[in-house]
Amino acid sequence: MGSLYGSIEISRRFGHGDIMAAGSRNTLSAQYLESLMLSVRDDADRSAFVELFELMAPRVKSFILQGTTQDHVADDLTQEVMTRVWTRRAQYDPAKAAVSTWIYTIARNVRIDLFRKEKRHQLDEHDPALQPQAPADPDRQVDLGRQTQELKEALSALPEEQLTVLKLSYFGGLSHQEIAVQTGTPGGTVKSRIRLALKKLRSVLKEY
Amino acid sequence: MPKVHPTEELLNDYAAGTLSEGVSLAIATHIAMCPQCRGHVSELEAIGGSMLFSAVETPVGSQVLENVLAQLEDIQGVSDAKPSLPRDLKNQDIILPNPLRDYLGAKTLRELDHLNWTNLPGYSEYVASDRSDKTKVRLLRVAAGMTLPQHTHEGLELTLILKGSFSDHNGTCGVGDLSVADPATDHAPSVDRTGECICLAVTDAPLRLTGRFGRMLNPFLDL
Repeated sequence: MGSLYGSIEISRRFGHGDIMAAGSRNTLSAQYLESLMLSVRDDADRSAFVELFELMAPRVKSFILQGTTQDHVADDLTQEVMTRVWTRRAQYDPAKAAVSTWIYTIARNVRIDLFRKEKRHQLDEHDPALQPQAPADPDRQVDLGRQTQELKEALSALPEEQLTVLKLSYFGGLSHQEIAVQTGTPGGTVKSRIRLALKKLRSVLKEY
Repeated sequence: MPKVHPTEELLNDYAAGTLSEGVSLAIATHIAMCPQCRGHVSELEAIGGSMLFSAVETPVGSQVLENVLAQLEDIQGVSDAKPSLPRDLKNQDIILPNPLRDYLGAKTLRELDHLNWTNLPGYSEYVASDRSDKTKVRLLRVAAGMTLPQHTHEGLELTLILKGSFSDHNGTCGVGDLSVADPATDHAPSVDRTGECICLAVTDAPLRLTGRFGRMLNPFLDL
């Protein structure tokens, strides 16, 4: 990614496209999120963090609210997620994950740690015991911000029945088996809907 | 490079964060050893990220930002991204992937010897999970040429090889391979004659479902 200034320029160009849903109060640009997060990471920039909070915390709360009905619990967990965004900012790597993906993994782990009272033994990307990946092609520049926007488009194109099971999985925190019970749908149907949805979404990723 | 991988469903549930602690541990340890599954999980997490990106906004209590900012005052520096590693490593001692290091409190394959194993002839077992856990996490050490004790389980069983190799319904499995067996699987792994086998075995109890997920179908994506 280019300079901070360059990232903001990109966000101006892509940030208000028609791929965002009509009626959204805050149009969100993945590139702009990245420029904010890099300021947070590199300069411990608090005003950038406040802006990031205002864009992402209400979305994190929607995620958390799928696992609890209590508003104050959702606020507490959202607070924990956003605090971790600050304390773990050094681990953010724009080459590995878009900001929304990075925050998603934090929110998911907070839900497991605090809501389910279980501990997640999280993989550390910097662990020296990690079996290394083949080195990336230096000419291949992945625009993860653009990818996030395209995934959003692909999500909105999914049939409702597929989107529903995907929401229950990622946001509801339900296993395939739990989704089957919850929706009164046969397990095999749940599995095939998730498989079809993920196949379509992953085909977007394969273009990168 | 591992050749036997978890099912797509397990990787999906791992990325969505819906697995029990023990099963999640087995998957996390496998993906540390398997770049292919790690790439797959990254894609599934990017899908989760795009859903967060697309989520509706729920107003957050006004005190939340204040509380976060107040906490930042107390936080000195940043948590270090680099995990600490044993400094006095002996030659050829193999470092365990960090999810397993954290869980067991043992840093290397050799340090597993210090755990409180129950020894039987040709076979040792260390139970790592609490008795109250629904999911049972064990280490098994099986001598060369032995067959793992016949066992029954109602739920899923995941066996991840940390050292040596064994053969089961998936053929020959080596280091990093994760063999998944469900109750229908005829499952009697036998260890090859060339050396002992150490593996992580996770048995998941069948799910007992309650009706506490009533709110799940609320709309929350802004598409």
